[in-house]
Amino acid sequence: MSANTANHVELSDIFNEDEQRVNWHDETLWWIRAKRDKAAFKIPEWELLRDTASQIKNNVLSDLHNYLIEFETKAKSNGIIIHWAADAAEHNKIIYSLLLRKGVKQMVKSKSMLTEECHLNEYLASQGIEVIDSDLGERIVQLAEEPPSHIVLPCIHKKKEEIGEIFHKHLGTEAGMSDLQVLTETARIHLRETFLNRKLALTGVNFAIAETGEFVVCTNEGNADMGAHLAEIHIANMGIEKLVPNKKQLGVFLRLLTRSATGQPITTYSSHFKKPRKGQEVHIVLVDNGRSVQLGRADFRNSLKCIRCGACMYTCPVYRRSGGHSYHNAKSGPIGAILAPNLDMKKYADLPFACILCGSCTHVCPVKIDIHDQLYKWRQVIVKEGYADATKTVGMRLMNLVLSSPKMYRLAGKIGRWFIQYIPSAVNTKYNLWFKHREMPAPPKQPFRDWYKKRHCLI
Amino acid sequence: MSELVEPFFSKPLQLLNMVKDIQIMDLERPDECCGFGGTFCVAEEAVSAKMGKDRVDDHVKNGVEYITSADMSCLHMEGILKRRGSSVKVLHIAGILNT
Amino acid sequence: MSGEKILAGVLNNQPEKLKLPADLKFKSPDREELIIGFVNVLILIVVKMIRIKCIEEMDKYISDLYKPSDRITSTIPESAYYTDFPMPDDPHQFKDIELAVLKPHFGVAENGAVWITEERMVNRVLPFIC
Repeated sequence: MSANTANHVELSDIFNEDEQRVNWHDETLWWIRAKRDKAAFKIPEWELLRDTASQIKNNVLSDLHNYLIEFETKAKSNGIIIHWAADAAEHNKIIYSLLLRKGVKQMVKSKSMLTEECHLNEYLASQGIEVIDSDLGERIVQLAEEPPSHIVLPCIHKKKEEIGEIFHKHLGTEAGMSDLQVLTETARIHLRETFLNRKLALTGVNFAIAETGEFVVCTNEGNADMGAHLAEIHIANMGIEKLVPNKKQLGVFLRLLTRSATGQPITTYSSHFKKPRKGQEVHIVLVDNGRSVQLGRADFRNSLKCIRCGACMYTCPVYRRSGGHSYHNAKSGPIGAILAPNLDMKKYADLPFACILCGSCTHVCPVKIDIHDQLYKWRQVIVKEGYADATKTVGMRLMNLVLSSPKMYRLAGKIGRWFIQYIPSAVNTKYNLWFKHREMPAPPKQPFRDWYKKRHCLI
Repeated sequence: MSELVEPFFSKPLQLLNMVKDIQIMDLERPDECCGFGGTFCVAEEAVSAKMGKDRVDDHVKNGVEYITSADMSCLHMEGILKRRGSSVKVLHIAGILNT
Repeated sequence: MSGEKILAGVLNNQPEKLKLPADLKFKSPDREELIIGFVNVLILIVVKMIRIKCIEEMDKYISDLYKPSDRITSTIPESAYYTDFPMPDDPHQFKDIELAVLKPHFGVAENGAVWITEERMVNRVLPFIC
């Protein structure tokens, strides 16, 4: 199907055709949830940390204008060059213009979900610029020519044998090699060459500190650092919401981030960048791309508190059984489903419905975003705007008719029970989606209402 | 809400523990969603059915004779159990508390 | 200019100001407990740890582990591997370094991390390139 008609129901139907693979995907991601739980339960004040982080982010969003000005001023005084990008297109143009100015045709990039959001790689490729993704997971999906399926674990949907095949095809390892040590060593050598040769490195930003104008990048591989410290130009891109007021609050977020993301106590590297090294240029691109609009939506602005840990994804029972690609968006899972409709309500109308409202995402979110509440609210907005699925709209109107009238409800119940009892073939068909994997419920001897009335002598 | 770092509490469990001669079995995933969800059960049928299957499997492999729930999801799990001809029965919690 | 437009949009849409929460306070355990905590995390994350009484012990440990031809460097003046780096320092000159020996400012018991500033790295790329 084309990207225009991609929707979660159809994509997850396809994903579920291979049940063994679904089991593997589900168990792999649940294992991370289990690791996260272990890490969180080691911190007795975990819930206090969450609450504190949530309140800090609430404060940031409520005073974002001043914090942005403070950050820009401080960063500039540290020798950093600041750029502002209203949207994805402007972000891409700014980065391209920096490459052009320096005559650079090859760039190394560390993990940045923002570049996925802006489709930077595709844009630069069309301008003849080679981009190498240095995060190992991202490099794997880049070689496989696929988008990442998870914001922290981009190739979690790939088994090691599949990764072995990709490395054999592109990096010259032995066919059938799937030993993780060998694969990692191969990747390390391949990426090392890249780091040593590239003049321009792009990194994301995990946290930007308004008070000091510095920014923090957290990686397990040190790839952001290798790229930045060997390049003549370091570009860091960030969404305008990624601010933290003061340096001391960083501790709250660093204690929450990696435990939530992977169950580790902290990433291998948490690097603070303040001033360019001698002879180097450092640029920061501050990106809006719909964030200021989301800020104005009272019901949905909390989604801007997100620190991109990815916990909502591995805890989501729907995500684990449908895979990141079924959300047809760089940010998948629950957080993707509340951010994407803001950018394109029509294209992403299916996402808030790809949810069972179990609330696990909300309970696991380190900054206490009310994710499942927002998913519910988005549904109402989408239906009002007319983007809901046509069948569902008709179905819901019918249900509304039946459920809002006691007489209609009782009649519908009687008819339903009669059909199930006397003409089961009418409901036990392939047109009844319930029946695909489930038997219909057996009709009761008497409806609950009659039983209750009799029992309590109301008849 | 096993995600939260707080003392465990479950209202339905508290009520069930007051029933004579009942034995509550532990599950591998204590509070994962069963996948019923309302219109979700047909709107996202593939995922709903898979969630239901997995939930049922967790109960069956931990040796339960009855699965109980506090909402209409009992129909969803019962439907799956019946489809595979299982002897595990399903009861709404009201049915247990009413005995 | 985009910056002005974005800031205007933010100012227009941001909600009423909410206060920052109070700073978190916690009691720090005694030194022995901190050391045990730190060591336990290192074991958990599979980091090799060697306790030494003096720098010479560290130098011996390194010389036993590495070949004489391996390029080893240190920013610790007391170490036998101390190297006085020439300035300006092109980071690429460190690409053949096998081992870098650095002295952080302190360790963190809760997560096994160590904190080190640029001053003690001497060159920013050193902790990563070796």
